[in-house]
Amino acid sequence: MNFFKKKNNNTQKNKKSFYYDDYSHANNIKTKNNNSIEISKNRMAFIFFVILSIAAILSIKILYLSFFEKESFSNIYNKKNFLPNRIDIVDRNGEILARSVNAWAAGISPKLIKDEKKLLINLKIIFPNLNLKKLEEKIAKGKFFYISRRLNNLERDKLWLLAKKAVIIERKQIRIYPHNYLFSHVIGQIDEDNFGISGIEKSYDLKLKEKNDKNKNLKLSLDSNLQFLIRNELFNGINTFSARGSAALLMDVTNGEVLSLVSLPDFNLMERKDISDTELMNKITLSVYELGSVFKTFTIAAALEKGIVNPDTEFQNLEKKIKCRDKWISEHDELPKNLNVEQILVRSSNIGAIKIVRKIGSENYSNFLQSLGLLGKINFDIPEVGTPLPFEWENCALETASYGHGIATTPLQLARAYAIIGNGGYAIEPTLIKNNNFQFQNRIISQTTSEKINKMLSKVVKQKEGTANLANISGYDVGGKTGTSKKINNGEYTQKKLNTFVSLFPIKNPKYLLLVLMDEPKPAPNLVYSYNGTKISNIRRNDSGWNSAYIAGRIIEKIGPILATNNLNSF
Amino acid sequence: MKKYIFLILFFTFGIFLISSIKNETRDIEKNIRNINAKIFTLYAELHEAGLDYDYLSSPTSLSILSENFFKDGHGLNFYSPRQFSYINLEAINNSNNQKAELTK
Repeated sequence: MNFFKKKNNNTQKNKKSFYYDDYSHANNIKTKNNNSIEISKNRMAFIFFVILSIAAILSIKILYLSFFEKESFSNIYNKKNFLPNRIDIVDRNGEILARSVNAWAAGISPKLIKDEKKLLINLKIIFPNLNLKKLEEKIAKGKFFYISRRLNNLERDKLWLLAKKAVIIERKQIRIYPHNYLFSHVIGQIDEDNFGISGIEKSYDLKLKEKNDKNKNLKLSLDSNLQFLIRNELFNGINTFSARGSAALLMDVTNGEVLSLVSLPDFNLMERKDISDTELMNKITLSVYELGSVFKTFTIAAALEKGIVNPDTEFQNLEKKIKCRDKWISEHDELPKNLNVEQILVRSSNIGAIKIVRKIGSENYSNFLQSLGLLGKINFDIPEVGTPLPFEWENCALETASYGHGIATTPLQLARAYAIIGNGGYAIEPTLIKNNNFQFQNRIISQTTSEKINKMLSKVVKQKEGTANLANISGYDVGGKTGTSKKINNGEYTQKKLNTFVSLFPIKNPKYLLLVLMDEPKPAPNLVYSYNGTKISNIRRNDSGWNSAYIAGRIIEKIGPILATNNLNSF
Repeated sequence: MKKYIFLILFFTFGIFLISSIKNETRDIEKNIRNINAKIFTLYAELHEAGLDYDYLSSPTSLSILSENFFKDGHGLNFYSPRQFSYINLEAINNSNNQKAELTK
């Protein structure tokens, strides 16, 4: 700026007088020289300014990297390099149930094949089980295809050593289920394109694909240890009673959290190929069954709730069999003629249940079952949920429904209904997701009815006349109800049975519900077991929920210490 | 003249300064990249090791291991409440005996 000012001053001087011309000329030359130095100085200053600016920018960058971006360069940045395409699924104790890891996949690009025969021979050596005919067909189509989506390191190295352009080896994420069989009916599977196709993997597909927080996981309410113990005991039960299958559900009745859900036969999540096999249906959530005498609890609860009967109300001269339209309904065993309401449940009297339900009426009974959620479809965390069969309250339906025949629902809904009765009468929804903020809101039945029923259920297990003595495990204060039904084939009842036992414990203030179901159990005359200090053998029963109560007892014995130590207040 | 010498020196110093800062920055970034690569490898290994750990410590694996290696061949033992009380009684008796020995 000074340079310009001085230049202007000189011009003004020049304009003053010609007398000064000579002097001015000399002066001008001097000024010119000065001006060019000034320009150079300014340019240099400008260059220095630029250099200093660059230096400052770089220094600031170093400081910024050192102090402010420390975190991003140490952790998050690296995790961004490894983005699992699905977040982990963990159990309630944080044990991994499903995790995505990097693996290698190999494919063939037919267009790049130079010597097909040689390539096929090489591939057959590396993969002896490879079907060459199918491979040739795929190559003939000319489109890229995978030959293996899960290569082990040895296979990968061998393929690399082939050095064939047509063999394309690429990194691929795969889903690993470390417990193999244990949670097969709950976790489900994903397809090759990373979409959940069953179980939790399907219903929480979007959540599992979230990539905002790498440390996030989906925490289930299930417990691996309990699941393992229950599955083992169910397997023992299947072997002992030569059953077709079995299932069990363990639920916390105070918040609806499912701690264990097992359905046998199950499958290895790492190997399973056919997902439409009906034998592998989830017996707890998807299968719809007539569940038998376990419904008597609801009949009596409805009557107590309506104030129609009390536990002591006696029914005298009960018939041995009742004709309902054209059908005869009888007792499963010989029972006393006079039974009070409590004994009707303890001894599982069909005739007693019919007498009670006739007092309730079909509308009241239907509404009660509806309020317990037994007749509609249940909302659950996996898509494999069955819909109860539509029920028409005609042609003796009320009478048969009172003891659980003719009315079909899922064992999951049965468990929820028992949980509502057991927890003091509050509505709960079974869930597979860990929920720490659950609070009771809606009441379905009164506290008094709940307490009365719990007391009766306790007697079913503890009294000698009860049908579930084998579940009377010392120290755990078990209550429950057995049920047996005949399976239907082509619309007709068969001799094949379904054996159910629903238990609540500790029954004074129930915390847990255990449902055990045996599919087509057979008598086990060789079974020797200890009851009240005496050894019993040659038992040829497979009715009255006997088998399920026996298995439930063994399960409670095993899982009891874990549950008790986790909940010292309840036990 | 002094000014020019100063400017030239300053100019030269600036060039060296920039060059050294640039080199330092490049080295730091290179180191960061290398460390990142190592951390990434370690992170991936940890990710898989976590899975291995959960597989090996799963109840199924432990049960198989116990059946193979426990001498009595009974596998994992499960306790009943009676056994718990027995253990407690034993612990109480032991501590009482120890107290008695100490007071002697």
